[in-house]
Amino acid sequence: MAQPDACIAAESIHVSIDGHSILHDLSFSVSCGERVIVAGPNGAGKTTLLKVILGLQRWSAGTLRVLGAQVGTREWLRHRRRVGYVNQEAISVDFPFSGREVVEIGVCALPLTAPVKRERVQEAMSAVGCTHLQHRMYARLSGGEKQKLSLARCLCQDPSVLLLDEPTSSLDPVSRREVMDILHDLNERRGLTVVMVSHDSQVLAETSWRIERMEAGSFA
Amino acid sequence: MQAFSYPPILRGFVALVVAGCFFPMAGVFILRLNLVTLRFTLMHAALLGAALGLALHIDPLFAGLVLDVAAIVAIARVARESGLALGYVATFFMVLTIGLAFAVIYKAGVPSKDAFGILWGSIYSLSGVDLAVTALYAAAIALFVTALFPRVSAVLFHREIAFASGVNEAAVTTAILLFVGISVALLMKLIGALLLDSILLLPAIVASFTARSARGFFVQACVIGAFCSIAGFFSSLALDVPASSAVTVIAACLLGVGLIYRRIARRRS
Repeated sequence: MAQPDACIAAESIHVSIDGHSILHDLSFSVSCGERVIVAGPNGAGKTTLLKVILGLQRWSAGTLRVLGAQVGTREWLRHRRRVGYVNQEAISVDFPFSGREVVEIGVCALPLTAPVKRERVQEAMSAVGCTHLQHRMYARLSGGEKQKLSLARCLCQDPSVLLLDEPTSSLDPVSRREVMDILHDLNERRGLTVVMVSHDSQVLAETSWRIERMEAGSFA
Repeated sequence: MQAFSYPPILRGFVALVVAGCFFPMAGVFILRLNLVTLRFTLMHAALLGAALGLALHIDPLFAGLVLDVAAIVAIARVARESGLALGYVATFFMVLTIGLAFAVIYKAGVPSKDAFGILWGSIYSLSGVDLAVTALYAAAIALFVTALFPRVSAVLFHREIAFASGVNEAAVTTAILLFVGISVALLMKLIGALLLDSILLLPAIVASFTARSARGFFVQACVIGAFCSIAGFFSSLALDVPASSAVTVIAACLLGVGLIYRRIARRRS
């Protein structure tokens, strides 16, 4: 049962894609400021769960509230930018973006003046320790450097919730540790709620985060 | 310079330079969003438009533009609602529009030479209205890319990330597709369907070898497009060859230089 004051509260969610049930009767609750890892084998529905929370994937039954707003409603549209998202696919983008341009995506839809946006981009890059990457070509950066830029991009949005899809799966041990330390720091110092999908056994073994295991479309 | 005293030549030159300066922006969209199949579909839709225009005694360029815009809207909607890849849907519309074009040409007794005339294009056959439409469109795409650059670049980066950042990615994507469609229709009239890539795509491909940022990509594609169109125009006058051929040869030479540059740059790195 979802807690009434939960940051993310899903009740009996069902998702079908092309007639295949991907999530069924899934209930999930995350308190504000909590850090959670959603673990499970490939095809368990972990990524779909993140996309449902983001409003990228429609669901056929159940209720879902994020930051108090029912996902899909006008009220939720106002909250949408307070949910930052890091996906794995963005790592492979092959286009001449500079590091700074990638981070600027986080502020592009915010109703702020240009100087404030610039300041926010700079602050976010400093917070994550990637200021030196701003003029480098994104496509030529390592996986760890790209994930730091992704985190800075999310920080620009001034999010309350961070959703991350396998952010460490393609990283070497040093980069993985760096990304996990940044996430831990953001949670501790800024009070961000962090929900991360992972099947990285190293991460699962070392973490003190709450771990929820998914199997075949619902939590085990 | 005496050639510019003839209005058709002056109109053609201005239109070519305007197109060269701004239409490569649509080429950047095509490269990034992998819209090569869509580009072919739009050529076929414009041919259907030209055939309908000739059958109904409407300006073929206008009819081609309308058909391209209609095709874009239909393709975007079918792809979104069916979940099919844009390329599959575009292929279906490509076959459909060319089939309908042949049916219209046959049934309405449209001289196929006239209908297929849109495939060749000619910068010297532009009317004052054609030039005005080209200039207005160039201003529109320049305004779209510069004023909305952060949102456009968000969609070009990753559509899900753009959505999660609060961008109305569906609207921006539809606008991008519309700009691609109108670029193709106008360039067909200007230099023909078979050579339009020399202004639309080749400058963007060359720019992709040297650009180090998304802003730089757009700017460099436009500078290269402007160079190709100006150099191509004057070469055509000097060598007495069609302007579209001269533009294409120069763009192809630049592409060759770009490939050599990329190879050297890779060896160094």
